[in-house]
Amino acid sequence: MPTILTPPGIHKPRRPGPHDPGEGDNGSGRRPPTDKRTGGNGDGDNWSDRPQGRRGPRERISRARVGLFFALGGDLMFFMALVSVFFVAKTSGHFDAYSRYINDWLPTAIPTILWLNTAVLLLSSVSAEIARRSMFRETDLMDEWFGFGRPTSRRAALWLSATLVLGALFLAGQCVAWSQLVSQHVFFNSNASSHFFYLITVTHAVHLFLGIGALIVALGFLFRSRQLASRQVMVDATVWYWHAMGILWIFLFAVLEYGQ
Amino acid sequence: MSASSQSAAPRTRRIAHAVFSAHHRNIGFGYLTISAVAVIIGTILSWLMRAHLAWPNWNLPLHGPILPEDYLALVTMHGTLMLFFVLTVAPQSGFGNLILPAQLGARRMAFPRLNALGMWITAAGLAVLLCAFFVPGGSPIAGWTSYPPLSASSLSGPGEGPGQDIWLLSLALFCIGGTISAVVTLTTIVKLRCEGMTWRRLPLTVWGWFTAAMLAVLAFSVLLAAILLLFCDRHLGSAFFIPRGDFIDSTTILRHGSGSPLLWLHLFWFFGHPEVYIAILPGMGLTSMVLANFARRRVFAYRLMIATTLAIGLLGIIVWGHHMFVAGLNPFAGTAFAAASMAIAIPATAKVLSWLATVWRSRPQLSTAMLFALGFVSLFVAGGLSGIIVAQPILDEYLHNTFFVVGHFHLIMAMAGVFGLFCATYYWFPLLFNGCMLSERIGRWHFWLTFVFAYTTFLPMYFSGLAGEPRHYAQLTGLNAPAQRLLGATGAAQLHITAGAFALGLTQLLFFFNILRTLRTPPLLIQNPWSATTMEWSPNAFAEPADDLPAPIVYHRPCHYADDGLSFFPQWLPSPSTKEMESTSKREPE
Amino acid sequence: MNIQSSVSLSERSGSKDPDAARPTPIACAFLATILLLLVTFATIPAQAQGCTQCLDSTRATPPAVQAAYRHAIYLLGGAGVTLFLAGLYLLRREP
Repeated sequence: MPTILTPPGIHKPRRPGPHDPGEGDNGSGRRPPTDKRTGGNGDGDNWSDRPQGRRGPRERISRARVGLFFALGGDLMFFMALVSVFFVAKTSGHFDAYSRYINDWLPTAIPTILWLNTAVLLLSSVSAEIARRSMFRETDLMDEWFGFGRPTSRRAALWLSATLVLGALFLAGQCVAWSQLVSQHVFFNSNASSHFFYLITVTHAVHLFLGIGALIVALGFLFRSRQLASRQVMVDATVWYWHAMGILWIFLFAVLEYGQ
Repeated sequence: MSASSQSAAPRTRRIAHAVFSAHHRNIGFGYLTISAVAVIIGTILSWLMRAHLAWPNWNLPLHGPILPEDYLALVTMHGTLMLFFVLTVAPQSGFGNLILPAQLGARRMAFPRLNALGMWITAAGLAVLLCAFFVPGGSPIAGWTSYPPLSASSLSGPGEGPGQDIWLLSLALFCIGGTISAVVTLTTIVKLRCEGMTWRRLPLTVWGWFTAAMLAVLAFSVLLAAILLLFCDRHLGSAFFIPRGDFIDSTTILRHGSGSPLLWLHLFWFFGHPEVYIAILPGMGLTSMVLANFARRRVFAYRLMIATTLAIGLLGIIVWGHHMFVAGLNPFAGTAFAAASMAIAIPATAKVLSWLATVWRSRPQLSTAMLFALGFVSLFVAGGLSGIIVAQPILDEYLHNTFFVVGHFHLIMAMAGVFGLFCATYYWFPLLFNGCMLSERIGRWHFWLTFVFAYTTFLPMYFSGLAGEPRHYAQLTGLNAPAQRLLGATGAAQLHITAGAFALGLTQLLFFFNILRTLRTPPLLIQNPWSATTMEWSPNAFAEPADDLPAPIVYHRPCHYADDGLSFFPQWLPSPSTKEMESTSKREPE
Repeated sequence: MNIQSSVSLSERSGSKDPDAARPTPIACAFLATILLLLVTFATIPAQAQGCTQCLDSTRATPPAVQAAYRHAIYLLGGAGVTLFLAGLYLLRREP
């Protein structure tokens, strides 16, 4: 909604009658505390009258999502570069003594545990999404706003922990896959296709490791941060990153499994 | 962070606060410090190169004769320092951090601590790069482009051992820092605009920063991937870029698999071409605004200028093959890249015509900033026209790796980019330093000397390149007869260029003198000395956010001046004649 | 007052965003670049320029490798262009 296109100085007619019924005290003389930062309060919401930058946590989360979008775009280009090199290397070869072109690409057989790892990662995405949505459940948010504990954080912490465990399982599974290959004497420098197998899986694993770090920080935020908005932003950003890494893994796995 | 609250704090604490703060002003100055260090070292390296080309037998004190591999090391470090740490950092991150929030009406950049992290990572990159001078073997010799297999094996030359690894690490850090800075810039522009600042009301400088940041996000990651692959080739026994059975220094490099240097070229230039547009786009945006301001005219075809900025950015992504015409690229691919490269001339020409139309038949106030903006236009045209020549593969066959190309990119990128930086400094100096204005007299001397010496240095390179003078050659003396004939044809030009280069470098002492002298004078506290219309000149643009300060509101597009040449309508005040604007422009109020 | 006139203008257009009714500069940029791309890539059937050395080395490259390079160029360039345009498209609706 392009509210900032409203030329300033426009006199918006205020409704007659009790102003801001949500903030009114109904004559009791006392009214519940209003958190001016959230811009909540139902009918009393005047967020569009407030200057940009003070309209509430939606701005913060929007900012975080935009930043994450651009960062992930750059990250995607990184993996696109690796995949492009993969496709070129797949056809590369050399000319032998008889001037015949020898394409020496030997596809590396993917350890079957990678299928299990993929399933684990997809499950972790599901649990991460549940955690993210639980941060935005209206009933829980209202309870929290009223001061009835932290139901959002409790639920989210539970599901984020599940994501953490599954993510760690994924990384462990990747390590198992690598050790399986090593035990069959397929190292990084064994042949062209093994270069790519290790390169792609290791770089993805590094990104996922950073994601696990982010999950731990998000869990820390859930327990320590005093601002609901900060907790929401942190969990949201972490989970979107996690989803991106999951989708990326599906693409990379498809390249490794079917593209060799 | 305000000075008044800390005036009682000990000096060291204040300095520590300033150095480690996440305020965009400190971060901007941090970036400019990185660039200043890099430009001084890069200039000295270029002087050594020029001295060697003019007088090949000259002995460098404490070092001895400059051998060909030393010359290549100079070329590598000069290119890396100047292109990465000066031309990418200063216009985009340096001035971006200082001025962008104010131009948007924002109080800060998005993600301040991430922004600071980006700056420190970039500083670490510079520090690591400078270590390359001191490691065993010295600096790398593979050029700023670092083509394998020269860069892929430590056997291929001095400096290709630890020196090349240092270079890779430095650039990896730079890529990460650059991406962080670009993400912060983009989020700021998208999300932190103040009320009323629609996309169409953004100053063209901001559009330049925006497009450059988009290119940075896309390009730096690809360079990081390429660096990672090269590192694997160097140390982990892979063969991404090394052909099978490559023979280096009496050793056959035995790897499993067969790579191709052409792969590196694709990856590097996919980054390298957007990189040079990142260097020039902010300058182009600033030139539009400065020309308009001092000519007291609106920017001609403002929305077209926005479109051309985006078009140059977009086309810049698909032209990277024009650096590879003679690298073994399939000629059909070469034709496609050539057509796209020549297509970039269309938006670039539109921009030049808009600049000219903006000042046509005006009576501009020729302040130093205006002079540098006009100089930018001149150098952009002089360097850009030769770009269309080398964009054609059949001409590039001859001109590739000659001094023609060196002249082209130095004029359009180094000189025009640096003129953009000078313009920015003279223009925004009062904003950054409490209204102190740099001396116009010294500034005029600085401009004219720099302008004349820039052409003196780089224009003859076109002619010596046409004569066949090759790049990266330490010298033509002591070689066979054809080289001697070439030397006869180009030797005089080389002396001329060297003299110009020394003069050009020494002229910049005037600039530093001007700055130091002005900083010593008491501040004048003039709020809007250039009567500019963009938001950074509004009162309280740089004040700390406080509840009693009114939020900035933008009422109309920038560069709105009255016909009398005196009054103007800044963006932060409502224009009294909005209706007039409607009728004259025949569309809704902007 | 002039501000009133601008208000009435926006109200006249049904209090919609007045910019939405007309091609925005970014839309013009889209169209222009698409046209430019069409123009540039229509030249591919043109006689390829290049020296005999490049033509020789290309003929010596197996078609599979040539195709691989072509696909890699499309992938990398296409990814970059798509991200650039996607970014612009997603951002054009930001206020």
